[in-house]
Amino acid sequence: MNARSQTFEFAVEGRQIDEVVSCMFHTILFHRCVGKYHTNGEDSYSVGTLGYTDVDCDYIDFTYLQVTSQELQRAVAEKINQFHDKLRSSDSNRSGQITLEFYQKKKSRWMFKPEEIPWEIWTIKIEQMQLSSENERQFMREKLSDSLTERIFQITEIINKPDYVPKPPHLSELDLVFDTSYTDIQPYLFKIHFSDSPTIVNHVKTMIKEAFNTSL
Amino acid sequence: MSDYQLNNEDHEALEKFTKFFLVKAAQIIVQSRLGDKKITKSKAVCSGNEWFHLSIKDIPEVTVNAKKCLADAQHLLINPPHRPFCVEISLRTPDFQTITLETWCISFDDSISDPSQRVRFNIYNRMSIVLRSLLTCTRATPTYQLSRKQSADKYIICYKMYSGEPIVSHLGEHYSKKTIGNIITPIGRFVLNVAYRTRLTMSSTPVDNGTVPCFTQFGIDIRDDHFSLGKNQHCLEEDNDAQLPSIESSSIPKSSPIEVMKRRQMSSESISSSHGTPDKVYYSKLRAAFTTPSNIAHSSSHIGLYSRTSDNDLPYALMMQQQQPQSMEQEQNSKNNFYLSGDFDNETAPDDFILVEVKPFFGKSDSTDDLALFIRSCQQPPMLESFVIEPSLGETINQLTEELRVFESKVEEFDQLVTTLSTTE
Repeated sequence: MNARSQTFEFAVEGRQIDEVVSCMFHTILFHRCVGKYHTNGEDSYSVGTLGYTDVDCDYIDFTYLQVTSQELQRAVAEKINQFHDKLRSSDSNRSGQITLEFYQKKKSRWMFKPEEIPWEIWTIKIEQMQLSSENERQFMREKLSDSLTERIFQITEIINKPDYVPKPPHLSELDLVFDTSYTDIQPYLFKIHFSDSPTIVNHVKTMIKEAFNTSL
Repeated sequence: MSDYQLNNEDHEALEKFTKFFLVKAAQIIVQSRLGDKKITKSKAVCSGNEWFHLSIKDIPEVTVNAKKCLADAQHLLINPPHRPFCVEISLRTPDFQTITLETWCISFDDSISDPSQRVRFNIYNRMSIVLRSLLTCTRATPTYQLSRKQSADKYIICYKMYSGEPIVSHLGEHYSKKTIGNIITPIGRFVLNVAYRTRLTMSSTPVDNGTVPCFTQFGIDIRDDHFSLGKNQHCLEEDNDAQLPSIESSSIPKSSPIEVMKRRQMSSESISSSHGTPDKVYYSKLRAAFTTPSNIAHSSSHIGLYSRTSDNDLPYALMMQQQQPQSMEQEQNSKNNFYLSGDFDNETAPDDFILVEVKPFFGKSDSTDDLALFIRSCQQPPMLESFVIEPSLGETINQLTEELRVFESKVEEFDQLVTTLSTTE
């Protein structure tokens, strides 16, 4: 099975990395989450309720929504912080990418580990910028807000397509599709991984610089 | 049109889901424009009252308005003639000038269907996903940031609901239209769209009596004598009248903001489709909707719920309520963001969205006033010194060494200072 994949690129300042990635990932996770399943006997179950929380960004003029779950927020923030540290600690390399991957497990024979088969991959490529003036900073901040607006609508468009999403399995096999370790919610199985690959093309940065220069 | 027929049980279920879907969508849209952050709890075990597995609190006024709107439409969205359900968001200034910012629309198209979709499982879950998309998208449009900065002395955000084709003609040129999501059922497809204004100006229309239109900072066409004292006093007297003025009996000058709105809506009548203008409209101030349950019974008379039987009725009742000290107290008690919006008039790129004049607190609105000049200068702060002067590593170390030497020589003075701070009387 081929996983569908989507990539978004951003050129941001170092301090904006966390918020941009959090905004995108939490928007996606809010759609890729169900209420906690609560079994009422062998075959029946009830589904919990998802709450939501507005999060104001400090370095971007934007507010995004996330599922109300401290466990999920911690898990995601931890990975994003690691990505952020890796990116900012590297002097030579100013770009990297972080991926949110949804997968399902396939039981394997014998004693081997279950196979993890991704079905949806969201990649965010980050290019760090060095801005030298407040005007430039303000301009890029506004452009970033507009860019995030477009991305949010793109995400909802993709998610609302009638594409493959794992069907809820039998209650005994929930772990193959959902992450049941959370106490208050039940997201689809996901993992976050990242790299600071130097192969990111700098055309995004050049494009934005040109757009800024032509608008002055 | 789909030939597939749902059985009675499924049809009833779909009708019920549709009603709650529309009401919840209205709640999401209106609550997102109240101007504050939302937090609701996730519950591992649902209490049975939460629809679509989402913790969306209900504001009673919004539910009442939405249900009335649906009832007045006579036929539910999924039944012919499939009249769309719309929620319109607009901005109103203290001068009672109104600009429509967004139109959210849920429509039903019976030409696209999928008989394999199960009502009680697939469609219910799809509705949940679309409502989540709506939750995220309501935060993404420019109106959200505007609504977070609303206050009684700058502008407030209002909403209205209607059944009928969405009116987008008063969103200005270059409005943006996005699809939030869609749900395919065995008998048709729900589609949720939003059209939002991208430029905060109003287009001018020639005044009928031939006077030359002139523009305020909002670009509204007014007559030269609009602000003359006599007519302003006359308008205030009219505000005290609880009844909505009709066109025939009104002695309000033609160029009042109400008349501008009437002209715009009359022009929109010709543009809207054969479904015609909305029949019933519920226009409410969002601030009034933002009340705690204990206040609702008390404030229901101030919320201004009323039905409009024609497009020519306008919410003077709400403006009258704004004059009342009681409603002002409610607004002052609610959260206010006292944000000084910048003066963006001619200095921003043409596609910039925000156009709100600087009105400094306790200051004149004249742009030559010191306070206004100060605020404007803060909009373009000077470059920070650290970007210009970059001392070398050696210079920085020398500077630090000097500072340490000074501090070490004055250790006794610092100790005395700490002693005086720690003594208590």
